[in-house]
This record gives sequence, structure tokens and C-alpha cells, in this order.
Amino acid sequence: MTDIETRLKALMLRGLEGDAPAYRECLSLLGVRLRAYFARRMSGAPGDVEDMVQETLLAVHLKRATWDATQPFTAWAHAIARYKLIDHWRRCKIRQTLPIEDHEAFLAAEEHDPGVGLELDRALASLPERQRILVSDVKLVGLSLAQAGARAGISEGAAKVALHRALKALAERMRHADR
Amino acid sequence: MRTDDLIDALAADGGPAPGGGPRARLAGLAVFGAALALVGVLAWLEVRPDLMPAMGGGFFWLKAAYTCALGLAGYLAVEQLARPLGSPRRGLILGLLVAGAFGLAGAIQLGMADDPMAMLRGGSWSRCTLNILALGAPTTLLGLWVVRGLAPARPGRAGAAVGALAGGVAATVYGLHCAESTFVFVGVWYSLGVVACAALGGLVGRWALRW
Repeated sequence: MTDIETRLKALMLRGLEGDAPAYRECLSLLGVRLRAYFARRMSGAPGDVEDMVQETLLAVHLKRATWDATQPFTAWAHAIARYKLIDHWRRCKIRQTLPIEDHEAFLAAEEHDPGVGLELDRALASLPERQRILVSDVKLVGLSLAQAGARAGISEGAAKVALHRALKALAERMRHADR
Repeated sequence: MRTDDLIDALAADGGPAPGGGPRARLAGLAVFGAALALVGVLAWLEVRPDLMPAMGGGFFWLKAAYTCALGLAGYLAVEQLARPLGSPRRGLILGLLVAGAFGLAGAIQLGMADDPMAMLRGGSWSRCTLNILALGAPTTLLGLWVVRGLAPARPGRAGAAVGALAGGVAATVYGLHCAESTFVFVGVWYSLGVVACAALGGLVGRWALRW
């Protein structure tokens, strides 16, 4: 368990310094564990699990300034996931309590099947076309930000700004989607 | 969209978080709030005419130190409450200690006063709290927007803490206008002004600070 903390923390620190492959690996590792975390707690609504994974990954990314690097990364990520789950229940008017468990247990299980989230597609469809193209085209192995920007007809710098705005808008829209 | 594709998009937007961490953002808010309150005092309330001689006295600075400490307590609390795991303990302890010490001095002063009610009212009791609220409210609302960009897990408390930060800053600048100089007056009406800003932040924050 502490092993995964060491690994995730090292990857996250490198990611914050601009190491995109390390950051990608960090989010992937976190994603498979988030899937297991939500699946265990949302047995009544398996269709919503992938939406929650994606919404939480977006939040982890957009809120990364609030992680204090002197603190464990998994404890912080768990707090984000927990907040998102409680917020989800609140919006769905589900009354349920979530014990504050040890964050080590939070990452205990893995769930690999990289599912498809419906809510994200719906949110994506409501974005302006340029932003939509950017979000779906940009790939570390496929199109770079510069190439994706060129396809959307904008410079790399403008693509960077537009991508960030698009992700913020996605996070906002996913939260407001009625599930 | 597959989660893997989303992660690709997130990784392309990676690197250091834009806008800095909670500390830098909240420090910027405090500086902006002070400038805004200063504009308010200069353009609307006017600086007290005896500012120069008053600055030679000890109480002018004691009053400023008290309201600054309340703002600092708000800062310490919201800097933590803006993180999903944060505890406001340090800010709460500082705020209670400072308010307690000032309140104690006020109680002693009130006990020794010939006319306690006159001391409590001072010359501006009916305006003081509202003026501080008016000077601090814009910064409180702006502060909620700043905190919304962070990750508060307890919206009401985080909103109240950022309100206390804004209120403490506004009350400190308000000292440039207000000539009241007793522990009793400052301890009651200034503190109430800061509490009013905190209440505003807490109330609005309860629904505004969802993310």
C-alpha cells in the first residue's frame, strides 16, 4: 500500500514539473483504483461509476494546486473522490453516510476495464466545436497539442489555453448534469 | 468518451497548476481587498482628520494589530479549508485567543468606566459594523470565487473563513477613517463587522462553494 503511495506521489511530483508521460501514468494508476472505489460504493448504479471516475479525474487535475506536496498524495486524492461521491449522492437525493476510512484502503483494489462515460460525451457535445475537437484529438501518442491545435485551426499557445478552458467547462457541466 | 482518452487530454493540460497554490491566491486576495477598502475609505468615508497625530499613539496600532490578527486567523483557516482535507484549527485558535484577549481588556475597561453605555456607543456605534461590512463584502464575494477554484470540502466553513479574512482586512483599513479608541468599542463593533463578513461568506458559501 505504501508502495503505491510512493509511486503515485513520485509520478505526480514529476507531472507537476511538466513531465506529461509521468502525469499520464499517475492518472491512469489512479483511474483503475477510483473505478474499484466507486464500484464498491455505488452498487445500485453501476452505470454511473465511470462518470464518477471521469468527474473525479477531472477534479484531481483541475484542483491539483490544493495538494500540499508534504502530505500523502493518496490521502488527498481520496478526499477528492469522497467529496465527489457525497456530492453525487446529495444531488441524487440519496441519503447515505460515508465513513472516513483509512486512505490506505482507498487504493486497495484495482478495476481495469476502462469503461466509457456517457455523461462526459454529453458534456463534451455541449462545448463549442473547437474545444470539442481539441479535447478529443489531443493524445500523447497520437496528436500533440500543436497538431491538435492545427486541426482546430489555432496556434499551439491558443490550443493550450482553449484546452484548459474546455476541461474546466467539462468539469462544470458534468457536475450539473442530472443523473 | 473513454477514460483513457480523457486522461490524454488531462495530461496535455498538465504541468504546474496555473494561478499558483492556495497561499499565493489568498495573499493576492488580501492585497486586493486592502486596496479596495482603501479606495472605499478615500472616496466614500474620508480619512480621519487627526490621522497624523493618531499614528503617534499606541492604540491606533493596537487596533490595527487586532483587526489584522482577525484577518490572519481567517487566512490561516481558509488556507486549510480550501483543501479537501484541511482543518481550520490553527486559524480558529488564533482568532479565539486574540478576540478573547481583546474582549478581556474591553471588559476591564468597561468595569472602570464612569459611563459604560457612552463608552460602548462611542461616537459611531450605529455605523461602524455596517461600514466594515460594506467595505469587506466585495472582497468576501471575490474570495468565494477564489476559494471555489480550490477544493473546499466544507463549503459553509470555508466561506466563513474567507469572509473573516476579507472582514479583517476591511476593518484594518477602516481604522484610517474611524477615530474610536477604546477596547470596548473596537472589541464589540469592529469584531461584529468582521463576524458580519464571515456570516455573509458562510451563508453564500454554503451553496456557492460546490464543485
